[in-house]
This record gives sequence, structure tokens and C-alpha cells, in this order.
Amino acid sequence: MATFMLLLKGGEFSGYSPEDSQKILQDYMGWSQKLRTQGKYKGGEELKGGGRVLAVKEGRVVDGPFAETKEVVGGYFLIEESSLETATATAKDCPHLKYKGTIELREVNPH
Amino acid sequence: MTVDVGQLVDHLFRHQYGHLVSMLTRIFGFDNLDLVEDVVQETLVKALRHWPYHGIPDNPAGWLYQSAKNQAFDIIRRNALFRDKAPEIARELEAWDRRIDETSLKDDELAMIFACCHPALAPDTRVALTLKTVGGFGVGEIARAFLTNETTIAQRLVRAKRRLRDESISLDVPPDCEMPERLESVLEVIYFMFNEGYSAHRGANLVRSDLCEEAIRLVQLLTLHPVGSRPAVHALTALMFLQAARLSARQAPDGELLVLADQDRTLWDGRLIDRGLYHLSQAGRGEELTAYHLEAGIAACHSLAPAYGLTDWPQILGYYDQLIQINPSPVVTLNRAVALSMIDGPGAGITQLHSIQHQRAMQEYSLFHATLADFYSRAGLNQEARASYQRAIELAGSDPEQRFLIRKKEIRS
Repeated sequence: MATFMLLLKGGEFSGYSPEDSQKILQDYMGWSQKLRTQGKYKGGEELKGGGRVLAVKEGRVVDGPFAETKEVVGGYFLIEESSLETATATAKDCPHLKYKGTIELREVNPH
Repeated sequence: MTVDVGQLVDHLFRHQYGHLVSMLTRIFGFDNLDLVEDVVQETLVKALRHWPYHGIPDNPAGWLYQSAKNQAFDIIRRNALFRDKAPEIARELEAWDRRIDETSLKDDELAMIFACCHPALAPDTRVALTLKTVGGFGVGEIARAFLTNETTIAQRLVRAKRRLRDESISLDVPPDCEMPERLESVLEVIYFMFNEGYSAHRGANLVRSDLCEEAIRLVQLLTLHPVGSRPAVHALTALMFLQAARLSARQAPDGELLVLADQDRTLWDGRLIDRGLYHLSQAGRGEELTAYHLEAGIAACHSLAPAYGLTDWPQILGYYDQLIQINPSPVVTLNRAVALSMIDGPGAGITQLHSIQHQRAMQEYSLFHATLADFYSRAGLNQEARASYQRAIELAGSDPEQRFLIRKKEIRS
């Protein structure tokens, strides 16, 4: 068993009616609920917008360059899976991919 | 906090959209309706980005409301447009927590309904605006409901908002002196919405229950407020409940149309009938007798008959006799003719329909020809029946209606 992190990036949710937005939410809830019932869920948080991107430019720490909207990490999930293959299957199921989001899947390197 | 998907109430987002738009419009004014809608839309998006991680909050409505409030504060802080009004708006937003009790919410929504149904707005824009702002329906959903395209609805909404600004229509429950006329407009809009939902005019589906539900929700909102607790409002509420009770029985499992005579009455919703009858008794208090009262009375007669053959037609005819006094329209004559034919035979019905058959509204009305065809059938006049069914088929609205009429016509061959 190994731990994987799913980084949920981007996602386009404007232009949906309230009713459709609720259906999208229920889609996500269904997927994350399933992680729990399958015992795979190990954690997860939404990340607030804003924050900082730090780098050194011309000898000083500056803010930037900023990620494009579609690259911004909106949140992460930590899941326990037996292999990259099964983790990939789980990630493919995530509704995020249906709404112009991308998911970066990385294995956590254990200590 | 649980992550139980089943916890989300049906149409929660839609209804919260209506609450929040109403409350924010009171604070920001109609001039800023677009901004208000953006804020509320954004609130829902924030929920959908956040809730999946830890589940639905214990108080989802409260969460949404807090989020909308925070956004509103942000706007007045950062947007120069609101610099002058910022302190006033901030005070009103602070006062929200006290106003979040039930009556206040309904006050704002009610005021919004009155504003959206203002007589100064064109009839088609009243319905669209009500559905969008109070109902929380999307532009696409409204377009599908009225079998038109999104651009048409979008334009209607733009015109409506412009009119609201131009006429300086305010978000207030109208004063007593204006109430009868304003209430009449609201009831018309709500009933129109219900009828659209009850019978689709074109296309595949026979019923659009979302619209019916919304119409019932809005009229109930009215009855819960002193302002709307009047006989006419109760009468309309009764009528809609009694008709809604039959919704599940109107369509056969294979999607085919079932008329009153053929419906399985065990599928009628007894709870909705009870609520309808309750409102009918409330409607009976006082001196007012409106067309809604009579139509509700007729609907009640049908709801109380254990079988089609046991329908109290003389009672129904009595109501139609009164209804035709108030509203001498050919549609009422048509419906009255059906009741008459059940008492005096199809010949009497034919005579009635012949008296209105030259009216344009009837010539182009599928149900007129279908009813006449039915009378001819019962009178043994098969050739005339086929001709009328053919006319009805040509004018038929939905596919199930058309198929139903084709079958009836074939029986007469």
C-alpha cells in the first residue's frame, strides 16, 4: 500500500444554473464519499485562492510568476492505494476531469 | 459533519439562490441586480469547490449566506462605486444575522415577487424574471420550460432589468391601496407558470413538474404572509394543489397521455388533495368569490369522486354556470360543455360547441376539436368525429397528445 496525492487544478464552474451546480456538487460528494467508504481516504483540503508565489529575481525575493488559472491548485486529496494503476483509476473517476479540471497524481515518498 | 450525499435537500441551491438574490437586492438595489446575481452565483461555486473536502456543512444554508455576506463586504470595500453607500450597506449586512429568522427571509422574497410581477413589466418578462431571480432557474432551464431559445430569454431578462431601473420599481411589499391589482398580477404569473408546467405545449414530455413545484412554492410563500393570506390566494393555492395531485397519473408508464376518465385514481396524491381542500376551506372565508374559487371547486369535485363514473357533474355544472358569469370566455364555454354533455347528453355539448366554433381562439385550439370529436363519437356521428380528430391532431401540442388523438381517431374508422 502507498499514499498518493491528487492535486486538483483548474475547473470551470461558471455558467451553470443553481440546479446544475448542485448536481456537480453531488457528483464530487459521491466520489469523495466513496473514498471514505472504501477506506482509501487519508486526508484532503481545499486551498484558498491568493497566497504567494515566491522566487528570487535579480537577487530579491519577489511574488511571481503566477500560475495560469487552469494551473492553480484548488485542493488536494490524500489516498491510500495499492499501486499507481489503482490510484490512476480512482483519479480518473473524479468528476474534476469533466469540468475542465486537471488532476496531478503523485506518490508520496515515504520517510 | 458527515459526508452523506443524501443530505442535500432537493433544489437547495435553486432555493437559496432565490433567498440570497432577494436579500442582496434589498441591500444593493435593483440597479445592481446583475452584480447581486454574480455574487450569489459565485457563492454557489465556492460551495462546490469547498464542500467535497469535508462534507456538507451542518447548516448548508447558513454557510451559503455567510459566504454571500463576506463577498458583499468585499465588494463595498474594494469597489469605488459603493464608497458613499458603504457604511449604510455595511450596517444592513451586519443586521442580517438578526434578520435571518424565517419571516424576514420570506419578506424579501415576497417583495421580490411583487417587483418581478410589476404590471409595468411585459407579461412574458414577468415570468422569466420571477423564475430567474426568485426561482433560481437558469436561463437555459427557463428557455426549455417555455420552448424557446436562450437568447430570447436572455434578452427578455435584460429588458426586464432595464424596465425595473427606468420605472424605479422598488423592492417593497406594495401598500394596501395597490395590493389588489398587484396581487392579481402575481397570481396570474404564478398560475401561468403552473399551467406551463402542468401541460407541455410542444415536445416530448407531458409534464414539467419543476415549474409546477415552483409555482406552488411561490403561492405558499404568499399565503404564509399576512399580505397574501386572502381568499383569492388560498383559492389559487387550492386549485394548484388539487391539479398537482393528479400529475403522476397523467402519464402512463410508457409516456402516453391519460385523460381524467382513464387515470388510475390510486396514483393521485392524497396529501396534495388534502392540502388543496384545506386551502379551499380557507378560501371560503370572507366575501370574495373569484374565478380561482370556482376552478378550485371544480377540481375538488374531481378529486373527491372515487371514480370517473361517480363524478358530481351537476355540482360541476353549477360552478361553470357561475364561472361563465365572471369569465365568459370560449375556453370556459368549452369546459362547461363537457359537464353539460355528461348530464344532458352529447347533443347538448355539440350545440354549445357550435355556438363558439367560429371564434378564432377555438378554431386553432386542439382541445376544442378533440372535445367536439368526443361528443360526435358519443353521439354515433363517426364521420364528423374523424374529421374533428384530424383537425385536433394537426393542432396538437405535445407528441403524447398527438398519439392519443390518432388512436382515438382510428377507433372511429
